[in-house]
Amino acid sequence: MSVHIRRAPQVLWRSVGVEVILADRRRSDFELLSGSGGAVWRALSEPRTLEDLVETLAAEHGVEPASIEGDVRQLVGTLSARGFVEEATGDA
Amino acid sequence: MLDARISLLRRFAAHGLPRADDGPPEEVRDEDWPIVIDQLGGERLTGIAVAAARDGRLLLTELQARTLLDRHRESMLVALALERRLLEVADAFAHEGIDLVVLKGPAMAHTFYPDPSWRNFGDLDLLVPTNRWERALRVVQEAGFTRDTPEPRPGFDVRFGKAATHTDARGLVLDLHRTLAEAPFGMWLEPDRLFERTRTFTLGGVELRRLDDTAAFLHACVHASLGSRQLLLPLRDVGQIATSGSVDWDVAARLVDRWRLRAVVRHSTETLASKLGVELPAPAQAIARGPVSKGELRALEAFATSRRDSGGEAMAAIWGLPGVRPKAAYVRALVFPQRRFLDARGQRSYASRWLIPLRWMSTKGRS
Repeated sequence: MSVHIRRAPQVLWRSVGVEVILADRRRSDFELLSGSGGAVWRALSEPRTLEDLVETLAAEHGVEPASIEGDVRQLVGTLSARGFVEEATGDA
Repeated sequence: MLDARISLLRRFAAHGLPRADDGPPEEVRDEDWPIVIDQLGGERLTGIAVAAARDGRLLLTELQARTLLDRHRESMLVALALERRLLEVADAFAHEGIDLVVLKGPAMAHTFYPDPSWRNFGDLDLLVPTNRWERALRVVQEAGFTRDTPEPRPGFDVRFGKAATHTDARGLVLDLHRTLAEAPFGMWLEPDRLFERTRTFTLGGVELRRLDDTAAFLHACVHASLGSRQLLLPLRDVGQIATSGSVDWDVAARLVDRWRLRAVVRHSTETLASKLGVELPAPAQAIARGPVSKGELRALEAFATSRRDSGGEAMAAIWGLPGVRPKAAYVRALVFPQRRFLDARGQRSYASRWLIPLRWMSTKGRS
């Protein structure tokens, strides 16, 4: 069983160029993801394991996965702590 | 330059739709940009303009791109705030067991457009059944919204009204609808049967109801032709649904007959072709070409021409109401409105009292 990361269903969001604005329906504030944060959010259009997410973003930006893994892991941790993404066990 | 700017806005409004003439990518002169960006905001087209820039159809300088994104970000913050309020209100309606259909903005953005960020909106439009109208008003008010203007006389809403505009403490606007248009069109289209023509969409993990593609197409035509401001986005909606939705054109043709909407569909599709250069699928054109009654044309003219500003809308409603008693009740409501209505409209003199209802008729719905 692998752990997938997915967008939390209660999150409302919009793209603004490369940025993404997130709004949790249970709160009144907004979160603005710029450049790399927006890329992570867009890559989560489908649930992915952290490894898959890192590889997808690395391929998209033409860099080595190891060079971005720490940043991606940290961003996913922040998004998870704020309830914007969540973990799901299994294939989805 | 005015013509050039109008042409530019129309090309933005049509971006991504099948057009006879796409032409070369557009550039905007720096001296025109402040006006263009204001018009894009006013027409709620910043999302489509951002998409056009991304697709290479709009060539912007760095400064222009930045101001466009700034304006679009503001619009999207409003859209998200409205969606958050929508989920709160929908929850309250569900708790009360009141059927609710989401019209226009969020339903369009999340259903028919390539990405919700393409479709700006500045308010919520929610349809409820007439027989739950009074309770629905209370639910909206309990959710923190205040009605902008009371009904002219008790009972006016459920007999003749289209919608009641509400605003909350943060300035977010919610239009509670009983039907989709002012009388007579609003009566002709059998508002309570609209609830039989719905589908669901998901927003923030919540399942909501919207009009099905066929009814949504007809509503878009109604909004594009009968809306008090002749904006480009409602026209775009007509083209968007017709070309990307799953409209059942046979059903649409039957509803157009039953709801007396042929003049409206013809007007909106012809305007779409003339302003945005978008040709609709052949079945849509066939519907628009069918015979139109004089009554429909007369009613349409009251909304879509300068007659609207001189009481045409009220006259069309009076003419379209069936029977003498409803006509008399409608006229009485306009001529002898309740005090609260006059107060809300800023009564200043005895003479102005008579003008208030007519001004209200000619300006309501312009938000």
